[in-house]
Amino acid sequence: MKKFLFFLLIFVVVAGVMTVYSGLTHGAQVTMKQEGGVKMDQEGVPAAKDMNNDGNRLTFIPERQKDTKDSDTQATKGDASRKIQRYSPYQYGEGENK
Amino acid sequence: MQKRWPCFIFVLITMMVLSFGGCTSSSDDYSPYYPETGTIELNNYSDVTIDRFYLAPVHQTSWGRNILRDVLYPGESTLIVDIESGYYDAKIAVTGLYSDYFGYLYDINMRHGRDVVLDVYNSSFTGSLEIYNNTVGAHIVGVYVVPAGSPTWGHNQTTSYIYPAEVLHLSDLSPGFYDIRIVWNVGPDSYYDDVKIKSLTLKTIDVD
Repeated sequence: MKKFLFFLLIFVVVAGVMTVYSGLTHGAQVTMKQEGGVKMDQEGVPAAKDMNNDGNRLTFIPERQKDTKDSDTQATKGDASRKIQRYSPYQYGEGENK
Repeated sequence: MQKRWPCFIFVLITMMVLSFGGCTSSSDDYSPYYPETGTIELNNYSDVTIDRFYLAPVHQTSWGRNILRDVLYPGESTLIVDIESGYYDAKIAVTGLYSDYFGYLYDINMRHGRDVVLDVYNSSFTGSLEIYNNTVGAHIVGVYVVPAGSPTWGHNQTTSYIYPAEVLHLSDLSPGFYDIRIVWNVGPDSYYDDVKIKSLTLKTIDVD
């Protein structure tokens, strides 16, 4: 009985961890890897209006707004089986209709 | 007596000219000093190390070189001095364990002698997405990634085919929800809705 309860407990813990760190989207396996030491839950994403105000204190935002070219190469290198590219931001109305 | 008038007028004019000259010189000496350059204070309040910092005038088409002498660890600050007056765009870059992440600021006003403080938080950075071809024989010919709810699919994010066991790694996505469409060389397309991308996070989707 104790063994059964122990295995049940292990199963529940493993299932819980898997639910948190991975999931299934329409049958596909989805994995999320967060950079070490990052505590994202402690802060929200600042609103855009708070970030680029007229004051002399500004906050960086995670949004590329111009197509300024890089002078140096990307640090993370790809290999034969891993093709690394910068995301091309979506332009409204571009491409095939959904 | 009348002959002395021209001499007197000449002396008077000479004194006035000298006096004006002196005034001009004195004015220069005591004019307020307006420095031509400003300073940026960069504060890293995030949990990651900032590897590169770029600062480019707004009309420049490339970011130029990294101007950080050393990396900026979490909790550290640095001063970038002698920045000429004008408007600038800035970019920060982090090389993480799993991907590269970026943060941006646009139209920073560097007036004469102005000190500007730029803060970096975890939420300042972009996220990344990987598409892994988990099939045995099919290859991916198109990957479309658009913000959730967009009316169209945008353009193809891959410039080459992705064969079985190969990965397409896309960096520099703004955090948020995305709809993804995978186009195969054979069979119907695959669709993944509302895939969440987070700052400083790599999301991998095994598609088959």
